[in-house]
Amino acid sequence: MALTLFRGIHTRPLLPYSSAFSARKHVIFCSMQSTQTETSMKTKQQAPSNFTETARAKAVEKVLKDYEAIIGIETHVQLSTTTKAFCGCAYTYGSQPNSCVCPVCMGLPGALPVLNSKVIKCAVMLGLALNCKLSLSSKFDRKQYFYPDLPKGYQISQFDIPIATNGFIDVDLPLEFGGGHRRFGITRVHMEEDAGKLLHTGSGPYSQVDLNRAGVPLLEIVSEPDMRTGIEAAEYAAELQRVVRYLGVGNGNMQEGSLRCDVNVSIRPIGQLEFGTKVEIKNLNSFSAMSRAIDFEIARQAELYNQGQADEIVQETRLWEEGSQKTFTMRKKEGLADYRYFPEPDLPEVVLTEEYVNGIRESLPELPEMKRRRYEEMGLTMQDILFLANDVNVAEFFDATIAKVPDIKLAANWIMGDIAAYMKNEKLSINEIKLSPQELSELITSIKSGTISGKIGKEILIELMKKGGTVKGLIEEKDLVQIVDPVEIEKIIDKVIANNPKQLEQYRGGKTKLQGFFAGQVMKESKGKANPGLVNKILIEKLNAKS
Amino acid sequence: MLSSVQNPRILLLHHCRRSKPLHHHHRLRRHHYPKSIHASPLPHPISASLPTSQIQTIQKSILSREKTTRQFAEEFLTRLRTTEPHVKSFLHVSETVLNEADEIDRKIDRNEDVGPLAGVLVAVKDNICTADMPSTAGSKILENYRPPFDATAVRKLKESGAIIVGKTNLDEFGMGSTTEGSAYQVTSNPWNLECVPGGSSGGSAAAVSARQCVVSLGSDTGGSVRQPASFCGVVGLKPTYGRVSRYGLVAYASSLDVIGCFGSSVADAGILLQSICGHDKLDATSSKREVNDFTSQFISKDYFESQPLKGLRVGVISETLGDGVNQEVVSSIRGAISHLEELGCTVTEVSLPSFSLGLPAYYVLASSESSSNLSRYDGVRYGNQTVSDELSSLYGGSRANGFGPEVKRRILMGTYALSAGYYDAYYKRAQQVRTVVQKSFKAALDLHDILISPAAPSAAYKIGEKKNDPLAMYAGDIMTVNVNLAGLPALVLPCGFVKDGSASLPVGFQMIGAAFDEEKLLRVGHIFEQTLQGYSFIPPLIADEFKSSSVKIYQLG
Amino acid sequence: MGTRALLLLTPAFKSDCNLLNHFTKYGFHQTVRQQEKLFRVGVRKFSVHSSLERPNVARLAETARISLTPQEAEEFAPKIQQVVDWFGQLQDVDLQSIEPAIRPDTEAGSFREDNPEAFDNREAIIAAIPNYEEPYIKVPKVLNKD
Repeated sequence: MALTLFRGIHTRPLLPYSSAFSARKHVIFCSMQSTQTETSMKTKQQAPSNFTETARAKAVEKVLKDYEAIIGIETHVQLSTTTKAFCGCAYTYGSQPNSCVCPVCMGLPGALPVLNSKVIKCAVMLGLALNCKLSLSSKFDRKQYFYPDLPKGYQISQFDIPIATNGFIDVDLPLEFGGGHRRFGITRVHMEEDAGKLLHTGSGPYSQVDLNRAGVPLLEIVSEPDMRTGIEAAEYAAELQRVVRYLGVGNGNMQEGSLRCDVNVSIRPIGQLEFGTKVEIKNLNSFSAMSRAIDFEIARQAELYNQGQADEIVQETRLWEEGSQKTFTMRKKEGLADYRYFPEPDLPEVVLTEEYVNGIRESLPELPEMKRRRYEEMGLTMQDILFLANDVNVAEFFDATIAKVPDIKLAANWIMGDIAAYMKNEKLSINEIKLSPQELSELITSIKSGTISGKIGKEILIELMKKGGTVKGLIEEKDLVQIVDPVEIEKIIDKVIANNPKQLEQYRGGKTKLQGFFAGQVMKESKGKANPGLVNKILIEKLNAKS
Repeated sequence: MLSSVQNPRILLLHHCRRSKPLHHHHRLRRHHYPKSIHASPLPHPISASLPTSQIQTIQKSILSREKTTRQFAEEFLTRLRTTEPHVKSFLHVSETVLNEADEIDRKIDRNEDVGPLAGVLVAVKDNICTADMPSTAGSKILENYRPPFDATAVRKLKESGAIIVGKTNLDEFGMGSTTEGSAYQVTSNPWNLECVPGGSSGGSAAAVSARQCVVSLGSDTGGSVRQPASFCGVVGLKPTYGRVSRYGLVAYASSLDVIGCFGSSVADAGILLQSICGHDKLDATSSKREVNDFTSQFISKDYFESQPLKGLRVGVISETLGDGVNQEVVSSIRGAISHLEELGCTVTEVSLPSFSLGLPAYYVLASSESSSNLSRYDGVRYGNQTVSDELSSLYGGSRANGFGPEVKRRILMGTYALSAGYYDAYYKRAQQVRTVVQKSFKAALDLHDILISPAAPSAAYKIGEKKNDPLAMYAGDIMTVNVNLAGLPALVLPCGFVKDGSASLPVGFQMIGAAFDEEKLLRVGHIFEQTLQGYSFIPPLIADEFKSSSVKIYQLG
Repeated sequence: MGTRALLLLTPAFKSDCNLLNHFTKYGFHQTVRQQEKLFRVGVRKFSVHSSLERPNVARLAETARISLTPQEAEEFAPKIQQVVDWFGQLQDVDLQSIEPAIRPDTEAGSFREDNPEAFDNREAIIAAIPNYEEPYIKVPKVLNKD
């Protein structure tokens, strides 16, 4: 029941919340969105009972009748380049601490940064994918502050001339939350370097610093404050992740920290032009946490407004605590931090030629939004579309399958049905099952042509997913070719009827339901190979024949 | 009257590899150039010995096996040991000098290639990273710090066969104009031990001046090679920004820093530069421009044409010879100008109206950039740490104990200038002044081949005189900072003296060239130097050694 | 060669144009154009930069993470003030429509390829760390990002 609406910026939400939360039918969808470990982690963390969820959903729904929530998101995407942004250290997640280091990323005296050209390429790719305007000449700046995970005492970033600005991203909201099309603005995309990691050892007077990650390239994406609900925010983030993965610039993994989102939330009474005080929320490890944190924050702020304590909403950073499902004050901002930005003298300007940009533009893969629109044109339903297009690997599988066999709906159903169920049970991704798109298309063709029955088809499927192999091979090996010769079928039916005189009598006596029994026996006898349609046709004739 | 010259024969240094003795009979040919009218009297009653290229001399000697590398090394080390208690140029002296010298001799015996700087003792300013010696940048915060890598310039030196004799003293992190800002010791000027050698590369200048080494590397952010060169009576060469890699140079002000060269002759400074310049992939600001061979023009003056600089257009920066410049310095410069005219130059005055504005602009930029570059010194990953169980105190204490007062002040000023609300008023404006300075120099250099000025408004002053007066100290940089703002190359060579009681202190003049035009500067400087009569720039501290005519090192041949 | 410091250009004196020319004995002349500007503008009692807050040494020291002793702070303040006032000259110049220059002309575009190059002396880097407990660098416990 998807409503396809185009939504402009700064308008009020048109979709109700209520039905969304109680129905957790979206589990498969979410798992497709995030793949791998995120699913299991998320389902474990969904500690709150449905009761709390519904309660909160209702609370937020009520709030949004009187207030408008203004939500903006800052996302950091860690690029999966081989080396760091400014030095030749190879970075691998999970390496022994302080092993991927050199004078440059350690901030040793006399060391100098040199930009990795792949970082520019990734930035341009993402900028184009987000429909941004590219700065043909951008520069780096130093963002200065002291912290143990920041070796130089400054971060090389881009301040006033980022590489990309003024873009947008199109999303389709999940159906279980009402569906709908949205466009959210992107303010800017810029290049910067990551800091190291600071670990707190719980007790003890020391913290530990690991500088492996220092200098890893990041792209920071700042959205316009266009989101109005937690769901919209979560879908924005999910779509960003999708784009990042589609482009192959990063693996966009929130658990590993290769995708980090900080959210800014403020509310204002509906009709008021002035924005409310915005609050930053950090420590969001999943999209659903983001959604819940935003909802909590909206409710919290509204409560304060309602009690006439709106001035207690201060500009601050709050942390989302998964256990208690609440946000807590991390620190109050006493005025904005002064980072004393100035242009980075050690790095020349980044100059892009039209040629370079066009080259990248032409080599961009089909992005999720384009894919969704293409699937729409093919006649797939929104439900199918969201399922198939949300994971780049599933989409690839699907595209490969229908390249061979034009039966789009069948292919979609197989993937969304039996295959998805298997993957869920076995906790595998579509790249890990042994079934190939070629074999799936072969399977579909075999069933369509009548070579095998649908039922046999399902059985073979499991085998193919588990062990691989080819459809043709299995058919031959297990002698699965469907029996479509009426004479053959008649023989089997005769045999079955002969072997079950009692049931025949009962049937002829009026128990017509026993047809099913006979049909079952025929299938058993034929090892499932008999064509069900023919079986039923001939069986009925035989059963109803006199004597 | 000018005597005729023979066909020029170029002494090809780096082609001199084989042991064949070269049978030159070099006699001092007397070219009768009229004496400069305003020259100061000779300070010492020794025969005027023209500066020759020690590098060429050493190379020739060791390759012809006339003398061994070890012998040269021992001579210098002896002199170093004798003079060092007085001059105190070095923070660290290498213990492997003689071993390295022996190795070179062995290679020569085996007829192996030894490199264009083989046998040459080079001192390196202590803010340039050397992996096998401490690199303190003159600061307590890096006491005993050993970098895990060599600066690119040092690596190139080693590849050229040079022997690095030690690390020289400097104003802490390059901040200062007297070397009194060092956390370790005060270096004295070999010309008058109560005077400063200049800064911040005072140690490198003094070491060459006292002939403790052949040549040395310094760094120049606002004049830190050129001013000490002038104060110590040696040649100082500041290359174009981007000509020499900054990788391994402890950063002071990234958009202004360059590594520069000291020598007792223009040729030596030029040969040293040749060996260290070129593009470096580890420095994104280093130029990819091809480097010409500028050493082949260091020919003997016997082969100069008459009026060898005919047609060269020289512009004297009028703002640099007015009030506020020591009168004797002015006359030395005017003497240099006359000499240039005798050599055939056309000298005119050129005004650069933005000249004086460059000084505050420079200090804004330098303080700001250095406040950022020095943020990394927090005691966490290297250097001296002041232990504390609280992070702020660890940072605050390490930095408070590790930095000297001038460094602290500059960090605070830089922090101020970059603060929100002040950026436009200070930093941005300084950047704009930089543009103005760049444009005005470019315009002047479109009309002139080189520009001339003093290297400093005075000769060396007494130790302690300006220590507590920052602005007075900054004022002394007026001649040099604009060149850093514009990123241009400049050469300082001694041209005269200023009276200092009964003694004298040397004065250098500065030649500024167009970007990447070191070749021209060196050619002009070499010709100027080789034809300058009546001066000897050997400090009295070591003059005795060079009185006797038996010292071969200072004769052509 | 005794010298006087560059004159303390405190706001109160700014309007006196004679003193503007009175730098050190080395005489850094303001250009005529700059003098004219001041005349044109009228005698300003206070120059632009005096409307900016004076450097608060204690706060700057905190920002720059340098623990100054009270004596140091006291000693530095006038010296820093002096230099900052001297910086004020920059405000008196007409720089409209002049592009700021980040550095001398460098050829743009010096990049690296995305090829790994392991640093060959990691042990020396680790050895230089004052407080190291394999495999981490130790720092006092950090509570909040400042």
